Amino acid sequence: METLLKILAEIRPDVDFEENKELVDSGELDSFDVVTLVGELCEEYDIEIGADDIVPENFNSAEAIMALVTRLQEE
Amino acid sequence: MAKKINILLRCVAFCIVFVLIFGQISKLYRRDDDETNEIHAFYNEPQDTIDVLCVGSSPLLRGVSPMLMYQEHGFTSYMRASALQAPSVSYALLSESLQKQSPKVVVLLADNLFQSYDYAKREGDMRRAMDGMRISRYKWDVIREVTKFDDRQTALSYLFPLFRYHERWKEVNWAEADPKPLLQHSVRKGNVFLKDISPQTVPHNFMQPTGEAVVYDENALYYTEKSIALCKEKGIEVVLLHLPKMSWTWEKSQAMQMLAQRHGITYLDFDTEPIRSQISVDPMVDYYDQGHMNLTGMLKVSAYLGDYLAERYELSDHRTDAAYAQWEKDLQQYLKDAGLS
Amino acid sequence: MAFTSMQFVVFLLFAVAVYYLTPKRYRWVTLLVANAVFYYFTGIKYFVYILCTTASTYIATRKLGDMAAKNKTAYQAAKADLDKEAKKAWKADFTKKKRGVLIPTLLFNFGILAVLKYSGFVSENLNHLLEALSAPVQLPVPHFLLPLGISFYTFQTMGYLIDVYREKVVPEKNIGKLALFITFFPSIVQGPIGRFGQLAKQLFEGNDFSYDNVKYGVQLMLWGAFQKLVIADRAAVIVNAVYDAPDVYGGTYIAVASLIYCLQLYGDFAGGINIATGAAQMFGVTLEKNFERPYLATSIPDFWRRWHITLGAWFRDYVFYPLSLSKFFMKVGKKGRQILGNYIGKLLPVLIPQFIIFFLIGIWHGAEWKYIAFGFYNGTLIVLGILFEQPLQNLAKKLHIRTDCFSWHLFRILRTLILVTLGKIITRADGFGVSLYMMHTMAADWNTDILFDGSLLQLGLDGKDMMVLLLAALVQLAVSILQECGIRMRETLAKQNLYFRWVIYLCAVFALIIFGMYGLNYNAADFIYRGF
Repeated sequence: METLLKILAEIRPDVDFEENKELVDSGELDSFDVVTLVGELCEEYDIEIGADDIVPENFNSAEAIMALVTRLQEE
Repeated sequence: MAKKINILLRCVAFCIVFVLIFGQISKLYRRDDDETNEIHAFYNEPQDTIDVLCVGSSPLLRGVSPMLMYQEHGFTSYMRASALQAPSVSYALLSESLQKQSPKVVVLLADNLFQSYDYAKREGDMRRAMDGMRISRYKWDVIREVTKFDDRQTALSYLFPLFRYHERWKEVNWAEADPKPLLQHSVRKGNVFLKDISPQTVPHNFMQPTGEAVVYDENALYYTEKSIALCKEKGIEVVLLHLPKMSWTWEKSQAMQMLAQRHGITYLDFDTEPIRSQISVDPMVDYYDQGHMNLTGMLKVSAYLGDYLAERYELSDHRTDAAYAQWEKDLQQYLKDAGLS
Repeated sequence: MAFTSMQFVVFLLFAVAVYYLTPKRYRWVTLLVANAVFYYFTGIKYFVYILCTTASTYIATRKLGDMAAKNKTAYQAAKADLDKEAKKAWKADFTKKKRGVLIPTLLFNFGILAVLKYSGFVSENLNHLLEALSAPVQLPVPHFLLPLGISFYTFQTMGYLIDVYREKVVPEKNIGKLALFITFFPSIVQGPIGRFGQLAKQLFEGNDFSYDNVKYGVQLMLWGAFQKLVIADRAAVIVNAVYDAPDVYGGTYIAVASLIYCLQLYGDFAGGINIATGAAQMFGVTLEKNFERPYLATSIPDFWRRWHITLGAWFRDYVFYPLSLSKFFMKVGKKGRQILGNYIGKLLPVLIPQFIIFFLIGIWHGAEWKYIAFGFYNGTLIVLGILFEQPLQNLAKKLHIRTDCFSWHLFRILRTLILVTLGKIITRADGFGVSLYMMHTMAADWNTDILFDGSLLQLGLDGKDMMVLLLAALVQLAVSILQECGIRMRETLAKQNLYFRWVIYLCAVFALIIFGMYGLNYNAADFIYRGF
């Protein structure tokens, strides 16, 4: 989680990732941020995130992103 | 349940308010037209009180006065006429009139038999008559024919003229404008006379054979024959009429005569001898323009036509009949308006 | 059957009445029949195309569904014995198999669209090329009439296909229901482009009658008709006058006409969408939002998030993400970072696909060079915006410009509006060359006198019409601002007392009847987006 928050902060230093639970739905994260983030996640955790994983529910909060990463790591 | 009824009631109330306002605005924006008014005021004539019904184009409006004929002979008549009336409209007017009235004689002014009628170009003239007509299946038939011919015109705008005249918001000043309801009762009985004089010269060789080829317009002939057939079916006498017009020709007159013969009806042509000499219409004084009488011309034409109808058909004299007291009142008003009393 | 015709109103009322009279479980059939009737009146000739799309999608999605089910059981059985690598291989193998179904279906359906929409354009340009090479051959230039809403229903259906492929939705087993989803009449003409997951339940399970739904639906339709008939069709008079004679009018005219064109296009498109959404709501179906006050956007990307939202979202989900997350672009990103440095390199997998998307959005609008230019214009703006974001922020800081106040916000809105307007000149002008010429005129031949000396009244709208246009546009702006502040117009109105509400409704209806541009001597411009 620490690592994830660090990655997130690097991409968007202006967003409060610990509090905001509607990152995508509220428009805080746009498609560019998502793509950049996915690139970082894939590298950091050695996973593959496909286009079909890009749904708002997976990116709305830091917890959701973490859950996605964990799920993909386990698969 | 109570809530549902409440909602339903509110919807109905809203619709009523809407209809009331719609009607008021329609009256505000409608084209206030003499001919439309006269066509509409016909509905106010009590059932079976019209002895002679005339249908057709503007020469009737200008040239024949039902009130003068009534004054002279006592029979009642009405002009359901409008400028450049389409043959289909004439037929519709006749048919709906015969629902309520059972005249002895129907006069058809049918000298538009040789022109084709372009609904797309004549929209204004169509509306002149149609806006005064109530909704009936006859009116609907005309609407269908018009909208089929010209797809820019919509049935809706004929049923609710506001959809046609809404753009008049630019012309009509809300603060000053009065709603102009359609005329309810007419003292002129469809006679919209004009007083201006325009001297005419009789064309060289007027009403002499020239070998002109005349062709009936198919649509006009269709509706005229349909009108004739309808009258025959109801046992009504038909007079095919032509009123003075400088552009009239001998060949057209002959063609009309033939048509009348073919259907066994009467043809009365004011441009043929000896009628022309008898009524002695003066080209310098009696014309409004080449095809229409003015007030003085109308006096002459109405006098002759009144005599002609009274002589040939058994028309009752209502002048002393108490049931026709309104006609007597209307006559006095008419004479006053026309400056004839 | 245009949305603003009396025919449509009668048809809709009838369809709604029959819908709620039908037993609940058959209500979807009523909707399907209504779609058929609507399509019959609008373009029965093209029925075969929509049938092809429906049939091919049905077959493909059923197949994909079966494959997924079988794969799942097989995978569950074998899972325990597989290590991580084998699991990956299994997954890759299955994806490959699924693609064997997906790709031919996509090619077939987009093929229909491409042939009908672009073959004329392509062969025309190839002919120019052949001519330049003095080749003695000439290709025939076919001109197809486009089936009603083909761009919209093709995209909607292919979105569904991809969703099934991604196992996001369960494929529909009833082909009638699928056909209903594809042809739903309010949205087939000009969108919004719906998603299966969002629409399926609403369309297939009979919705209960709700007075509120019908009431709100009617209100929304009225508002849409107002936008279309009072604003857009009135604005069109001026726009057409100037754009039909670009060499006659000076720069100020062009600027005014172009701003009014923004008004026209929004009134027309958003108005049409509001009518569609209102009509759908009368059946208890909520369509997706397609506009969110686009002219209050503060940047070009923001504009595209507010304008034709469902199209943008479609391209984002089905083209942009797959492209930018593909192995190829991931590699490009890595390489880019090594060569161009961290900042730009990181952006490469975003920027290149973004450019491709705008190229596609451009040609989606039509098979003409100007639409391609329009795509590149927007793509370039977005790329420049990203590249210069950081430097500009630094500049603002250095110049001590406050950026957290209303005036800065307003500046951003106006700046975006100007950029958007320039883009609209490209699409409205009669060819890309003409639009360049017009922009040149705008820069070179400026005469502000015409704004005040009555010259603008010579363009087909007199002073009274201009006043109506201005007032109506202000009403629209006021509504937009209120909505931007989070006020929901219809719900707020419903809370007012009866008399006030009725006055508002009656004013709205009669404003539409009296000030609407319809009827004779005036050919109501068809919805501009219809042919796309």
